[in-house]
Amino acid sequence: MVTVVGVAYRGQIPLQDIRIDFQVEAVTPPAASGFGVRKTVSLTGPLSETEQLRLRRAAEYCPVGQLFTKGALAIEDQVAYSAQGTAPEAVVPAGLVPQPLLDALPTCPPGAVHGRYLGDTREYADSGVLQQEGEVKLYLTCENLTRPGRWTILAGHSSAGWMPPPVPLAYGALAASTVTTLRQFVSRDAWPPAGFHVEIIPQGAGNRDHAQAAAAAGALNARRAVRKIVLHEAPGVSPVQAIEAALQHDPLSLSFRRGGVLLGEQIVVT
Amino acid sequence: MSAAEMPGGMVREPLQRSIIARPIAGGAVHTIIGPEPAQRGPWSFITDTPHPTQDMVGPPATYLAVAAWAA
Repeated sequence: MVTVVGVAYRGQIPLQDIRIDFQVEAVTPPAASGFGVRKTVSLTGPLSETEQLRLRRAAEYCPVGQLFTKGALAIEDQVAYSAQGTAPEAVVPAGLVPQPLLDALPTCPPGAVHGRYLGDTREYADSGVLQQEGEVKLYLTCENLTRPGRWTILAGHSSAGWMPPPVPLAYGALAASTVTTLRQFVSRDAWPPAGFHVEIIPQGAGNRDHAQAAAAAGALNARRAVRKIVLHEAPGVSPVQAIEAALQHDPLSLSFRRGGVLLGEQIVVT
Repeated sequence: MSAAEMPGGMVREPLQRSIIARPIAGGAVHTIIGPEPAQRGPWSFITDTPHPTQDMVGPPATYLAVAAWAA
């Protein structure tokens, strides 16, 4: 959303508002990554057909959309061992935590994500030039076996840094998904008792202006990142093969690698 | 996959992590974006998985990624 806003500003396109809605569906592997989305982009403003096409292309080639649909992220996996205390006291080591019956539960329940652009959070320099595209309010809801869950978060570009930009948020999701998948598919006996964590180390990340220029041009903006699984003590038996096998089931890793998540897409202009 | 930093293996130059995710109780995961002092952030998120008897304490990680896509 903030990419489209930035492209519209730089292209002097009279975009007055934008909203994005995703319906999330469970899709059975191996044909897909375990989930799929249907995307609706709603644009408001007196937009010519050419301007609509430019914004449609920017939406298609936004940095996170490229991760999902263009294979723009190359992930290098590493397994490391750290003897230093990497888990704060509040965190219970994974190996000691009773796990829910993950095998019996859907990892991606159906639901929706609704993005609403907060236009009055845009920031301008004294010269009048747009400095920050502003904030997006995101409503998330999904089914659970008790009752639906609901959450609200912010993301976007802000000089005060109240919320993460979209790409770091996507990397955070990848790290979280990796932990969930490893817990689900690697036997608890394979982990050292002190547990593990996952790190993401972006490399050559580029910047917002470059990403928006690529989106405006409909060009691939390739990224690389190291994903490191860090064991908190030396394992008795190397779990590398078990980890590698488990990562083949990670829905975000799969979707970033082979796409197929976008089940449908429409642009509505009012 | 590289195991270059496993015990007995070659140690590489340390790379600066910008995301760290840790398992916490009940199947949930605590993720910090920008965990190092010099980095922008930190932004902290809890993700979770469906549970048969409890409300989820955070969205599934896939939803966080879709939210990033929407943003």
